[in-house]
Amino acid sequence: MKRIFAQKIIDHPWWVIGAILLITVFFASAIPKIRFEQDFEAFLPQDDPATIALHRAEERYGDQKLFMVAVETDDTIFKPETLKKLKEMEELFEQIPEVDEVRGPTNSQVIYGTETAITVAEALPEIPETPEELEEYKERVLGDRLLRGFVVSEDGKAAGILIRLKTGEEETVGVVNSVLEIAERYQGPERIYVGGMPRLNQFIAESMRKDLSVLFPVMILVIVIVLYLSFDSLRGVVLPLLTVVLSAIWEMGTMGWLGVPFTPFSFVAPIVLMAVGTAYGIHILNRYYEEAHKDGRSRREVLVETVTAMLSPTAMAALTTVAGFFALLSSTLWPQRDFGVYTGIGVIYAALLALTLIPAILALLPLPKRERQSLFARWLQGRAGLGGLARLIERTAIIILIGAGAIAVVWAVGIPRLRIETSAKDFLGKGHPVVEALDVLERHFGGSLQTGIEIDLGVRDGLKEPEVLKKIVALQEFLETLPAVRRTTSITNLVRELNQKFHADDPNYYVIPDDRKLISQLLLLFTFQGGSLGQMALTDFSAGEVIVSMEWVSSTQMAKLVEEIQKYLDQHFAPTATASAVLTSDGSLLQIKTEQVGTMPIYARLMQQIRTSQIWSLLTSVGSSWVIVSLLMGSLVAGALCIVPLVLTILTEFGLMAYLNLPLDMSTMMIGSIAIGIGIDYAIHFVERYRLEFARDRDARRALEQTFTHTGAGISYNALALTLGFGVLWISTFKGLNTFGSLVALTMVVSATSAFTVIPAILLLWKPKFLMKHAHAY
Amino acid sequence: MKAVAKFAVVVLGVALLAGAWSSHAQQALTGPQILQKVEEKGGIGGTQGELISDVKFDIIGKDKKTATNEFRFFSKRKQGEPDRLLVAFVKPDDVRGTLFLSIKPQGKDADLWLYLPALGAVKQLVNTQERKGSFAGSNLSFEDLGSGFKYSESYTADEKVTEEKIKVGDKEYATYVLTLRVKKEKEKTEDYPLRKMWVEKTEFVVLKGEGYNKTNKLETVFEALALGKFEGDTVPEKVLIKNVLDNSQTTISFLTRKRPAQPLPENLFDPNNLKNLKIDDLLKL
Repeated sequence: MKRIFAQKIIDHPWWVIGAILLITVFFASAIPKIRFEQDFEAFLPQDDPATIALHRAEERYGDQKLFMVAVETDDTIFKPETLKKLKEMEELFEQIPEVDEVRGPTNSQVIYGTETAITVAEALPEIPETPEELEEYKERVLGDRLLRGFVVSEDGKAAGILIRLKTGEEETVGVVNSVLEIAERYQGPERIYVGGMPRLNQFIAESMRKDLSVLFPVMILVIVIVLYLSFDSLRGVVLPLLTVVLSAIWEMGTMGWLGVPFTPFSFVAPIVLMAVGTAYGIHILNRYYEEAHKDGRSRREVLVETVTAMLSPTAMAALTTVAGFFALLSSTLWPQRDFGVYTGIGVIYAALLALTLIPAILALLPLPKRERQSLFARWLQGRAGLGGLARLIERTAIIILIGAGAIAVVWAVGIPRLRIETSAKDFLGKGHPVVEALDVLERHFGGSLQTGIEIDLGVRDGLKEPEVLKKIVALQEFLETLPAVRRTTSITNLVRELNQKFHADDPNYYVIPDDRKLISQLLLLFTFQGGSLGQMALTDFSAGEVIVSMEWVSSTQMAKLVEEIQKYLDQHFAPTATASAVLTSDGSLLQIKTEQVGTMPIYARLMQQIRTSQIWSLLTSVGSSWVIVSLLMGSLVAGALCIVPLVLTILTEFGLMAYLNLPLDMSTMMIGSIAIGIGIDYAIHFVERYRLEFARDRDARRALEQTFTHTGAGISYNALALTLGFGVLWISTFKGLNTFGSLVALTMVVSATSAFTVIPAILLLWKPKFLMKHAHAY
Repeated sequence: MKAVAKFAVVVLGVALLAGAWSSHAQQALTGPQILQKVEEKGGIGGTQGELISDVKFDIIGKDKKTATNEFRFFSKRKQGEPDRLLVAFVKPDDVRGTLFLSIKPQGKDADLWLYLPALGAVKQLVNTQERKGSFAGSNLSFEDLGSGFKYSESYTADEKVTEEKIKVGDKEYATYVLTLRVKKEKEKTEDYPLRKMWVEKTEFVVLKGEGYNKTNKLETVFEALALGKFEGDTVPEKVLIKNVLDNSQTTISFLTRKRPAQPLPENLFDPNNLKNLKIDDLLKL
């Protein structure tokens, strides 16, 4: 069967090449269809309670995300030249077609109240020319509670321009680019920052595109170096490279045709695939050169022999790797599932292409004239290299096992310290312009993070009840005592402000009136004056939001805050508690329902999901690897033996992260499954070759040396390719991916080292029964 | 910006809301000529003399929630005198008796006063900027209702017009379809670079309108849902103004339209007298 497959490929090379070309064209045509999904809040399952709450809030109250341009000065914004810039920028932002509303220090409405009149005016219709006019404007803006801290910082050193997009404008990247272009024009001496979620998302999308264009060529260069070190020949470099490039195209094409987006976690799938997939080409070429130098063989015979011999090992190696990646399917977060599934599919493509395209092209080329082995390869397989290592292990088997055990304990002790953390800000890292903008927003404008609490009365005009509003005021007062919360806004601020204005601006009237009719009439006035209730209330006043502006804290802190707020809500608003019911003006009882919506509960849920997903994906990948290896080798003990280096690798990864204070986040939590999927190959190759050699004459020393000098070389090339390949992610724009790349590279080294040390030590000391069984062709 | 968009919708709306005077259909009218005839109808305050109307607004917000308001409008227009409009809130109960008064001298901005019964005080509303507020949360603004509008101030109608038949209720009407393009100097202030309107051919009543925003998306639609007769002229009885992007809409129903039996008292439009006006008395007029 294997031979027939090999013959078909070798006898019809042009058909194979033609078919692969056609399939490549088919897949390549779908690559432009791939869209980028960079919104962290979209990463939870659509049926998650936090996502459902967010979507409902967006439907009811509009976009929940903050989008702001901050202008920072060293002294004050109250200078004619700065004010002129602000005015011009506001006007230009308003010209962007997708923008619905721009609110800044010059175009915001200010409301004055006197005994006889209510005046609604633009904050700055004309640029002030005299110091008196300037001072008057400053007093007007800083004296207005609705503007101070929103569009002008309390100290007057910074100005903020809030931008609201039109409802239904999903594509924000273009808008952010327009805003950035305008901001850039006015840069200096004032420092201008564009912040908020749309900017963050635009930056991530832009960085993903940039990363892809840099990572691809660098990855190709790395592969070329590794292949050159291994084969020192043109075909040895070009053919495996061609298979991984094509498999990456096929993988992306599959995503394109299936409408799967790239996320900041899955867009590196093609890069990872190129690193992982190179191994199949290396093994096939290795075998090809071995067969080619046996005397008196024709080109056809060499190739048929190569493909027949490599079909099973390649398929099995691919299968275990795919199992490792597919284990990510147990994750509850879809970007990780996508990464696992499409890298797994890509691995299948890479194995398939290595088994078909490489022999088909080789069938058209003459046999190599001389033995191809690079200097590096000769050193590696010599006495000073792997041969020497085999002898060292033989002498120190017990020490190795004791040492490995001790190291494992040290790592395991550290693991409970491992913190779970995930935020877009952390993923980007410090020093990025977008993170700087968030910091500026935090410094001057009550935080860069906006979250909310929905107050739902379930009945028309419920939000006009004085008792309800007073309860909301109490909630706001509690929220403002929390450490990260800078300010809260709700309909109560508006009602209190209007009440004061209507009482000749007397601050004693900054309270909720006791008369429901007065509240209704004040709110009516507000809508007449052009006020938009936005998130503060629904059209029928049956529900509204308390908007919480806060510092961008860690997701661990967010989870704690969510818990603390929930405790307050349960105490004061729980449906069963009598405290949640208020007596309305007409004497009936009104129940208040509350729910946290927005960024903070989403992140809190993400934290929970990461913890659960990590445990499940690790258990699934270890379990599936054990089952597959046990089946392949016909022994549960053999399966367990191959798992040992993986367990050590996982302990090292998590232990090291804990000691280095690196968080387990959406990217680093994928490392475990990847390490198992790829690392298991080393153990399988090693154990299987050892078993084959041991079965010949039961000479453990000879079996070990043979295994090291032959299979050990393949494992070394593979580990080198993967370590350098994942190391490429070091140059990614994302700090999260830098950490991810470094840690995977480390796990590759650890799992290869464990396979080279712990497995032979166990085999030498223990000699398990499965070694006596007939070895498979694997 | 949003309010400007509403303004543009109202431009269409007001023409329909106005009492329409019959005129004879003419052959081969151009777009600008039709536009001029539509403008001659004026706004709601365009009806000369005194008028009392009971109007109901059924509002559906973008959050799908509803609100209903009922008002009584008293308007007085006389050549050479300021246009006067008093709006009395009838429903809901919380705001019953709230009064808005607009006095608009020819060619000048309107002066506005507000009386809140719960506060028992009259306040003048001084607004130094373009009035953007939506009327009781609807897709109309207070000043939009109080003033007459001139399409030709901001738009130029294409010379060429097409013809189309559209249905209002069970009846089919022949209409001119006008394409209006914003004037260069108004590009910044108008949200709709392009608008379309369907003008009934005999009485030049606007039966339908569409506003296309700067991204060339259809944003607002204005539609006559029912027509009736007032003093022999075709007038709207029910109109719908809808924002198709956020799905908010306002249905305006004219419950009654009448000329007052007695001339409206002068002090009805006196800001100093607002706090003495009682809603029950106003409803008897």
